[in-house]
Amino acid sequence: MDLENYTNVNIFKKVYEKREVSSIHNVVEQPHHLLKDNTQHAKGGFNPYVNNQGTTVAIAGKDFVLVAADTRISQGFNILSRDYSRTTKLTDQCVITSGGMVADIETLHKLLIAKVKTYQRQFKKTPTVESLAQLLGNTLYGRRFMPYYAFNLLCGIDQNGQGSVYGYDAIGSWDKLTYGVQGSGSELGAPILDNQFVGHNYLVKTLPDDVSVVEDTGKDIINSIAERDIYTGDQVEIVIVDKNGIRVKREPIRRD
Amino acid sequence: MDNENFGLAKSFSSAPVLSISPHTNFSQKEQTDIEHELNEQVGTTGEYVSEGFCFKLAPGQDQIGFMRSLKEKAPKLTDFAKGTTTLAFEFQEGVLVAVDARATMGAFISSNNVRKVIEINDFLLGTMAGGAADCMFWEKYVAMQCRVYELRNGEKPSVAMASMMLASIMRQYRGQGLSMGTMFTGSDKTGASLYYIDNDATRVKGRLFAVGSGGTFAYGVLDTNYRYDMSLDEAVNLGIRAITSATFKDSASGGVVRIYHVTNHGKWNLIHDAIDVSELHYQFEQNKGHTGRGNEGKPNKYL
Amino acid sequence: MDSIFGICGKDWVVVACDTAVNRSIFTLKHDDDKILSLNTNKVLACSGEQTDRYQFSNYIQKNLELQAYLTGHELSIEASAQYMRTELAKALRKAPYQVNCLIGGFDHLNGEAKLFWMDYFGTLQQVTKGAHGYAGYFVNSVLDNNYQVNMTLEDGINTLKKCIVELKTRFIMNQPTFIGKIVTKEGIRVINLTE
Repeated sequence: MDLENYTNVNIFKKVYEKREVSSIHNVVEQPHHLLKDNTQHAKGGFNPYVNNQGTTVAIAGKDFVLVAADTRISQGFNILSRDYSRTTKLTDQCVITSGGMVADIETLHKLLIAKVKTYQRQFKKTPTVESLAQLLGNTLYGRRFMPYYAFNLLCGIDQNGQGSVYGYDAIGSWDKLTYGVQGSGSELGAPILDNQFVGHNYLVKTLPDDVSVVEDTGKDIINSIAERDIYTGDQVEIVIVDKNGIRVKREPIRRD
Repeated sequence: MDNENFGLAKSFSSAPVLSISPHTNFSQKEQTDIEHELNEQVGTTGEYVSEGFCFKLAPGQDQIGFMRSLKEKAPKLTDFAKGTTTLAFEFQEGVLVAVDARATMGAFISSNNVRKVIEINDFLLGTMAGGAADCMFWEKYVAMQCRVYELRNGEKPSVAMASMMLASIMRQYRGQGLSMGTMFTGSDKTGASLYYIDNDATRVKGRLFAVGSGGTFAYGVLDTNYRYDMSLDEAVNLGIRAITSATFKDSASGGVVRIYHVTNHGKWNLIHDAIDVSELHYQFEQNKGHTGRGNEGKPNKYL
Repeated sequence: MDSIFGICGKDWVVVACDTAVNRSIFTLKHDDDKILSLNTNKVLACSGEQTDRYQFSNYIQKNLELQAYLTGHELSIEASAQYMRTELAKALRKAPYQVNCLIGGFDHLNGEAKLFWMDYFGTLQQVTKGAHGYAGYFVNSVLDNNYQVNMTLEDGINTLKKCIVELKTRFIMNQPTFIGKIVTKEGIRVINLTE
C-alpha cells in the first residue's frame, strides 16, 4: 500500500516531518497549530468536493425493504445526468443508496463491493446486514480527515427476515432506523415520512407489511420532493429487497 | 506493562491477531510464515510494534488547513449533531447518567430518537456530545482495547485507565478537528467513577457534570437538588427532571429521556429507555397546579 | 485563568492556587489540586489548560521518580527546575505544553527554601515571590509590598491570604476556594487558604 498520504495514530509527527522536508522557503515553520489562525487556507486553493445532490428514501417493512431514489445528478444549476442510479447491490439481501458527490459515492460503493467479495472469500459466507452496517461505519470513519462526501442509507433484510435501514452521516456515525431519507431533499422528505409512517415520537414501532402500499408512498414522496427541490427529479428508481432477492423498477417523473 | 509508552495512544496495539485469538484459522499459511510474521511484528525488542491506524489524509501539505476549510469546501458535510443535553452524577449507589435524544443540523431536527449513551461494554458507559461519529468510533475502540487488556492480563482495566486511553487518543489528535465531549463512566473494583473527557484532551474526575447546549439548565436543577446520599429513585427522578427542564428551555435538546445507572458492583443497568419529555413537562406542571401551556399568571391578551 | 502565586522565605516556601477547573462558560470542578507534590520537599504548581497541566506535571513527576530510582539520588530543587525548563523548551518547538509553573522546594544541602518562576516559553527565574496569569496583575503588588527578607512563615501565609482577599475583591472570575502547600525542612503541608 502506498503510505504517502496515510498516517498512523501519531498523526501530528508525520505531518510535521513532512512539512519540514518540503518547505521551499528557508523559514522554520512553527508547529503552533493551536495558536496560529490558519484561515488563509479557507479561501481559494483546490477544492476536491462538489455536491451533485439528489434524494434517496428508504423504508423498512416487515419482510422487505424499499428504496425510492431519484436519478438526477447536478452541478450548480446544470443537470449532468437524468438516469443515474444511486443505489448499488452489495449482497442478495443488501443494497446501499447514497446522495452527495457522485465521484465519492461511486468510489465508496465500489470499495464496499470489493470488501464484500473479500469477506466472502475469507469467511466462506455472505456478510449480514448488521456486519455491513458496522463495516460501512468504519469505512467512513477511516476517512475522518478527508471524508467521503456521501450521505448513505444501508438497506437490507436482517437475519430474522425483517427489513432494516441504517442511516449514516458523512463521517460514519450510524443508527438503525425504520425509515430514512438522505440527500438534497432530506429536509423536505423527513416530515412526509414522519407523517406516513411511525414518527420519531411514536415509541411502538410496527413495520408496514404491504409492499405495494409502501411502494406507492415511496414514489409519492420522491415525486412530492421533486415538486419543490430543483435537484430532485427525472425518474424514480424503486428498489425492493425481500427474501426473493432484489427487484428494480423505474418510473419517469418531472424532468424540469 | 513494560512498554515505555504504556497508556499512551501509540502503545495501543494492533498486535497480531494470532496472539490475541487462538482460534484463527492457520491452515492457509505455512507455520514458518506465521512465525516469520510474528517475529517481524514483535520485533527484536520483544515488544509489539504498533501499526496503529491508517487514516487517509488530504492531498497536499496542510492537513489542518484542509480540515478547517471543510465547511466552505463541502457544505453539509460537517453538519453533524451539535445541540445536546447530557448529564451524569455520582451518588451513594453509583453513577446516574441521563441524556436527551435530539440530533440537530442547524434548525433541522434530524432525529429525536438518538442513542446518546454509548454502551461501551458491560461495565463502561460513555455519553455522546459533539461529533457522533467521533464519540462512537473512539469509544468502541476503547472497548476493543479493554477487551484485549482483559485477555492479556486476566482482569478488567480500571475505569481510570480506560478513560485515560480515550484522553490519550484525544491528545494525539488535538487540533485535528475531532469533536467530542463525553462523560466517561463505569464501575470497577473501587466502585463507580465518573470522568469528563473532551476533544482538547481535558480529563477531569468529578462528581457532577452536564455537557452540551442544555448543560447550563441541567446544572441549574442538579446543583440545587443534588445530595450525595440520594436513593436510586431520588437520583432517577432528579435526572429526569434536569433533562426535562433543559429540553424545555433549550430548543436544540429534546425528544426522549434515557436513564442509565452504573452500580458500584461492576455493571450498569438501563433504567428508562425512552420517556417522552413532552409528556413529562405537562406532568410536572400539572403537579404544580399549572396547565403547562406557558400562560400561567399572564393576562390573556386574546380574550 | 488559573490563579497561582507563591512566596519564599529563608527556610520555607508557600505556593497557593485556586481549585476551579473552567471550560467555556462552565466550572467543571471545584476541588482540583493544581499543586503536585513531586516528593517530600518539592512542589510544582501549574496553570494552563487542564490537559497540558496534567500531562506535563505527571510527566515531570514520573521522570524525576525514575531518576531517583536509577541513580539513588533525588535531584535538588534547582536541578529539578532546570530539568523542567529543558523539557518545556524541548516541547516548545514540537507540541508545546501551555503551562506556566511555580516550583517550590527545600534544598537540604544549603538548608534553604527556593522558589522558581517559569512560563511556557521556558523562562526560568529564581524568585522570592511570584504569580502567573491574570492573578499576577492583582497580587504582584501585594506580594511586593508585604515581602521582607526575614519574614516568618506566618507572615508569608498572611500575605497570601491578603492576595486572595484582593482577588476576591477585584478579579472578575469566581474562584471560591484556594489551597496552599507549605514546604519546609520537615516536608510538605497542605493548608486551606479560603477562610
